[in-house]
Amino acid sequence: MNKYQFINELKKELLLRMTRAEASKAVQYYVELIEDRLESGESEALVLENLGSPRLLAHRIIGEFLERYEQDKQEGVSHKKQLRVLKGREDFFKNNMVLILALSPILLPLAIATLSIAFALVITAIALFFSIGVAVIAVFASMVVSFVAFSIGLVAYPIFMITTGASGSEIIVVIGFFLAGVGLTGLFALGTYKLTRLLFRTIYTAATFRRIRARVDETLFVQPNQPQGQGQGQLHLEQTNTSGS
Amino acid sequence: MDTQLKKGIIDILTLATLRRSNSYGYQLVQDISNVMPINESTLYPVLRRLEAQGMVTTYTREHNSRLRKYYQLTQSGLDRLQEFCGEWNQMQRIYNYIVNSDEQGGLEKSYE
Repeated sequence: MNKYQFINELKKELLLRMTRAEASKAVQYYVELIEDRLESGESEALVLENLGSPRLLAHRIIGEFLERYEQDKQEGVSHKKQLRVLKGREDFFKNNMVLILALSPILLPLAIATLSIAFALVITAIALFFSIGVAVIAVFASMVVSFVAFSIGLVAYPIFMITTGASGSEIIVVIGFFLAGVGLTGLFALGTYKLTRLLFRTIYTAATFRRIRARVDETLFVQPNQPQGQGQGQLHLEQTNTSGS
Repeated sequence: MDTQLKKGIIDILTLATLRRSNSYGYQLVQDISNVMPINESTLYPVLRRLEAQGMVTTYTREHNSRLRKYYQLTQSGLDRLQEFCGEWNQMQRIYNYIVNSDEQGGLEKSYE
């Protein structure tokens, strides 16, 4: 291991538990120290051997901060600076460790189930919108291309036929064919566009969609100590929504 | 030496060393080691803590095209140092009390 590897490893370990700013301060200190010791004539191997494993060193640094934080807490000293040194979630898990462990047989499957359902829903929604989007764009693009092709044909092919000396009836049949093509593709292109707009507008403003949103809002933000009003509130919400849509 | 006591003393030794002149990590380790053996990983949390408590301030200077962090004693650091010297008289009394409790003076000999 050379000094760069040592420092990288130290930084990686510190960042697991410390804020970026605090970790980089510690790293800077050790970089400076290693450089100063090398400058004083010590070999890189010796310096790194003295410092030991970067993992262990990182754990010691973190441990010192944790110890100090606990000490301050016991003495009732609130060190806002000290608090920000360690990542917040660490404190949360440490303080609620017993509770979390006790509930883990329930919490863990629940969390996994919730996460997978949420994940599946998100993926489905994205896939649905993506596929609809792609299909619509493909249909629309093909219609536009055909429309252009038929339009060119409508002008170019009769001219070509005149140069080869075809009869008037033949030319009229060909013109009719191309006209039908232009009309149909134009209609389809316009239809796709209008239908898509209608579809998305319907989804977005659908009454069911609104009702689901209202229900979600209600379950998430309902006040737990609201007296009796829960049933009434629900009814009220639904009424306003149906009348609104 | 007792680790808790040692920690407090390293704080004081660091402040005392900085009273002589501003200094940087490596130099501080060298200077303090003359009085009490410490290594750089012991000093880091001490310096960081003293900085957080406002007893020292830091600034950086370029040295051989790299940065070196210097530590400087503040007024509150100096106050802490003087406070410790005040406490020291009390420590001296405690020490004398401990030593005098041993009539044969065996303890005192082992401390000398």
